[in-house]
Amino acid sequence: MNKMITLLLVFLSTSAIADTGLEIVAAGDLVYSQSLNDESAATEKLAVRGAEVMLFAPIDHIWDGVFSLAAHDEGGSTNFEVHELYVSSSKLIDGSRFKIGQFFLGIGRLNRSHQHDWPFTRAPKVHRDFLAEEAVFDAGVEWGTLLPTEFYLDLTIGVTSGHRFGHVHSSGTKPKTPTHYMRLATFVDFTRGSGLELGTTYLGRNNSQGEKMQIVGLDSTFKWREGKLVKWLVTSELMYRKLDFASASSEEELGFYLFGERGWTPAFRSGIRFDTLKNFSERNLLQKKVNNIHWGATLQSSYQTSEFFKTRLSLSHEFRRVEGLTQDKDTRAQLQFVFIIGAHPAHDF
Amino acid sequence: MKNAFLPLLLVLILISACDITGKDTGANQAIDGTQVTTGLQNIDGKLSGSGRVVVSKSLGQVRGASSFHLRFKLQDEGEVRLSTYGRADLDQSVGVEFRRKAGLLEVKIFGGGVDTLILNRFENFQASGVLDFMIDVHNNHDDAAHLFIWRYTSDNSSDYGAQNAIVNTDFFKLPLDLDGLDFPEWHDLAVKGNGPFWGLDLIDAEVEIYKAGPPKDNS
Amino acid sequence: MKYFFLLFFLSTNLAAKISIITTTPDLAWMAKEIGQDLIKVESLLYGTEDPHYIDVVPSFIAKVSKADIVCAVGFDLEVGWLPRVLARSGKAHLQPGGKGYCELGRAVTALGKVEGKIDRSMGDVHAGGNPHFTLSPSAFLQGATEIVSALKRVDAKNAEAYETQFEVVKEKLLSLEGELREKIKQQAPQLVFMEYHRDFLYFNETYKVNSIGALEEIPGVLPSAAQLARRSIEAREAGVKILMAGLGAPENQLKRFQELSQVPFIKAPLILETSGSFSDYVYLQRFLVDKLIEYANK
Repeated sequence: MNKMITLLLVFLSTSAIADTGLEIVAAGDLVYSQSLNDESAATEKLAVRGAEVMLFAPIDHIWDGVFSLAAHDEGGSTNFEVHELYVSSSKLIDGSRFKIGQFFLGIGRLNRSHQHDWPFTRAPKVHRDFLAEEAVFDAGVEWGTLLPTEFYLDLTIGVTSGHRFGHVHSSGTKPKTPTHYMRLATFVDFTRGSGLELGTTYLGRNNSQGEKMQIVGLDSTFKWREGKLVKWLVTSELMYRKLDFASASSEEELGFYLFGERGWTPAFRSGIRFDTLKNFSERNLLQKKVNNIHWGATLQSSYQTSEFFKTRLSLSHEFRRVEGLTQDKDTRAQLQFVFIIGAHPAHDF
Repeated sequence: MKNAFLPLLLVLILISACDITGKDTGANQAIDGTQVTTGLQNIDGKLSGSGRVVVSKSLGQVRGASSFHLRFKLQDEGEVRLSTYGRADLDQSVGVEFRRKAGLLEVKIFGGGVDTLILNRFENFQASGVLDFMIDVHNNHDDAAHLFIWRYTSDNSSDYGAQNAIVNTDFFKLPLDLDGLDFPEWHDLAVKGNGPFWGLDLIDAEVEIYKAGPPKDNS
Repeated sequence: MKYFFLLFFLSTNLAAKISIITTTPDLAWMAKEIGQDLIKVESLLYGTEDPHYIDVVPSFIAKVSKADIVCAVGFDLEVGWLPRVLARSGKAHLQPGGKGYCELGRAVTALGKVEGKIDRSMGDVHAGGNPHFTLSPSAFLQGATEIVSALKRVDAKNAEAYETQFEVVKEKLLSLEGELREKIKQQAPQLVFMEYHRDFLYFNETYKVNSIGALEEIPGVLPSAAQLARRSIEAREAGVKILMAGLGAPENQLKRFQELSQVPFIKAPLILETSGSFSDYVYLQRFLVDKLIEYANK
């Protein structure tokens, strides 16, 4: 992987890239986590959670290309991986968008954006458990179109290899059914530039061991902007997951998060997030259904000198309650620094 | 503005159909913490002899991650086998097996019909003494379960990391330390547990501590 | 019966107007002036927003996807959102270089180009030129030739009508410009003013008006207390009569400047709005000139 980095740097430094429309952006995401109770799994060190370099440019009159390489600190060692490498086009078929290659799956809300662009530091519980600490990406094809309605109704459909999903340490194995998904989204205008986006997602996969996964989700994002200031941001995701194991047993879970943030000035904002997750299939050895719930609450404050540098301090408390007993308490503080250098592409709403 | 509350309304409807407090429904009242088979003695929480214990309270999610603190002693030819994320009979589980053989400590990682013998990482352990380990099992990876074994130091997560583990299944092939032979890596075998339960099988052993908790490493 | 349907089809298609979406109301006004009844036009923004800070709003994508032509100001004014809106629309003809894409800045003789090394420490800099050219009628007319070109590409059969109407608009605006230039020359020859953001570069060039520059020293960054103090002194020494600011300028900074310098400020629309008095370009031009003359003579 280090050879690839060296080649990339040499390539970027040559004049051969002039006049090609190549844009380069690098994003740094540093997080210090401090545990505030014994059970917390906070790392208690300032870590490079993510360092990402993205290159994007028109390839020719039809296609555009994106390459995104990221480095993560995993257990003290730096792990390089290709996040995205794909070609895309809005010019191939009228009204259609295509992506071919490896990319973040177009599902839900958070999974469609890079971690350094999230409005909070740590992924919500439901996202961590059902998808990944960061996001699910895979290689395949994604197609999107605006449906022929008077109002905004956007459909995205994708099929990807499914060899890997979420947290994986190997190249994966061929699944029985590849990963397939769709998202349907609509939008309600309040003023020009402020509104509410609603989306619904379905994802399915049957891995190589015959474990079938189905995820259904609802996502919503409300934004109220006044000039430079996003005065209110409220975003939520509700996800249901069913796993059917090869042993003929199954597990059903429902998770949700709700995040609200108030922008006081263009530089300063504060927010709160609630997380919850329930396992409907948990039983004890007597096969009695065990009542359980996971709860989390996070308070945060962000300060930014521009849209390209922000610091965020958050305080979170998560716990699990099982038949009236509280367990697995994790209280932690996190300090995050995010910066972007270069030409950052526009974000979705 | 009222449209902003539609998803919230839907959520309230959904969650009103189930309990969100995690309150006691009496499901665990008949359980005395563990289920002990014959052959094992349970004195002041210490297990000894030969037999099986399956913990009645599950680990929660099948695709979850947990840590296990084990402190035990082995008689000669004795064995402690930790099975995690298995069915109620501990079938289809992944775990670690410790055995005392000819004065040495042998350690295996198992799962999905695969047994891996770890040859040389436990040579410095006094097989006849008190053995104290912290073990993480991450059963939530898409490929194989990710296991760590550490020497126990404390209950604090900050004392345990991917780099200071005695065993980290990210870093070995099967069987261990037989360089030059073409064996698959642990993760390529995609071995995972398929249930929410855990327990111990003892042969001529004494277990002082056996406790599950949240994972110590987040790799 | 089939002839009835044929006639119906022909008549509806003959009557179909060219649909134009513009980013700002200024461009929508100009497009309507040129296209008249042959087009229907809508602006994505109301005019009360800051075009630098707009999200990729899904309803924009929906509107753009139904357009024959999309017109933008250019000079990177909309770079933070418009490219993504266009890409998400899935319409090949609206992508940059496509038949229906029109960017007015390409035809404007740019002022305020930044030479030499440019980086983000300089703030929100438009290296290719200042994008606020619509405040000058002659610069705006330069840019408007892109609208005419786009209309001719998309609706070739009405090309002559667009050309003819454009000449009418040109005459109207150049006449207005001449009138207002003369008015300033006669009634406020010594006028010195200041602007919050560098909006008036083309306006100053057209009307031969003196501005000592922007209160906002780093574009897009709120002036600090020290910067406010320094600029207040400079404003007093230069004899600045008025500070002109757009509707999005920060009230607290403007009030503090007024306190320190004794120079009054006015917040006014510097681009058109989709409704009200400031929906007419001629009205806006007269308003700005009259305000400057009023304060020059106070």
